[in-house]
Amino acid sequence: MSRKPRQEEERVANRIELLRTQAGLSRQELADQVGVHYQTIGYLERGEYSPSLVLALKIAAALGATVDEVFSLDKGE
Amino acid sequence: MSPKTDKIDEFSKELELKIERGVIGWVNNDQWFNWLRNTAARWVLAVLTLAVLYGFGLFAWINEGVYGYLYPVTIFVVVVLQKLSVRFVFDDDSVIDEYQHERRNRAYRRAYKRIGLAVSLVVVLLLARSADLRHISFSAQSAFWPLPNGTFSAQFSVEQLVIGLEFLIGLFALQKYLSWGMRGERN
Repeated sequence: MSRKPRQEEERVANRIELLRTQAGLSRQELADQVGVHYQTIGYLERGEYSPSLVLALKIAAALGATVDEVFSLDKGE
Repeated sequence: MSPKTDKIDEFSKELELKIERGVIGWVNNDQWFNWLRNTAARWVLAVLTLAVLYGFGLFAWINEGVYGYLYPVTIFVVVVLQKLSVRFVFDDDSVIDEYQHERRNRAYRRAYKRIGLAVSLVVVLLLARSADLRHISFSAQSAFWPLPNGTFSAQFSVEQLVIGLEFLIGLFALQKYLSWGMRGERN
């Protein structure tokens, strides 16, 4: 099976910003909790970067949600 | 070496590492340096890097003298600005997260490709310049070695050789920063 070109790959949609705001956390606070830079949280929220499974699990735990409540496949439909 | 010397060595290494990480950590987390990290700054830095590396390099090569001494200083300044702009991602694995790690690896791949291409291009140009392609002839003796012998003669001053070496060091040092990309940080 051949790999799809990058622009055709399914992207990961997320609700990090919504859940983070609901939890009353700033980007910096969430970043500190999951061990990444605050800019990376920005890239994640804007959908410019798809996290590793480990980071996705850490983010979900920090936001008090399950991974599938935070992340979903965005097939660009 | 005595155990006492080993301990002193170990202590000084640890102290050096602590100071280095402390400085990098402070610079990385201080928002004062953010003006170097947005997209506009990345573009300005890229133009400045190319101007210094190639433009000032050529100028120094032609004029020599004091410019030969200024060239490495300007390269050093540009390298420091680039380091600040990308938050030292190429210097210390312990201060980068997975996004920076992935982007850094992509920058390395691009940099190696570009350097490989540039080196290949220079070699081909030198070969083309050195081989007189109009006079290639094949004899029985050369049948086993059909490539023409290339000769290239050039005369450089010591200063020009030093500037050439500085250019190469700068090219290798800066390529990864140019390959990092123009997309800067947003708030």
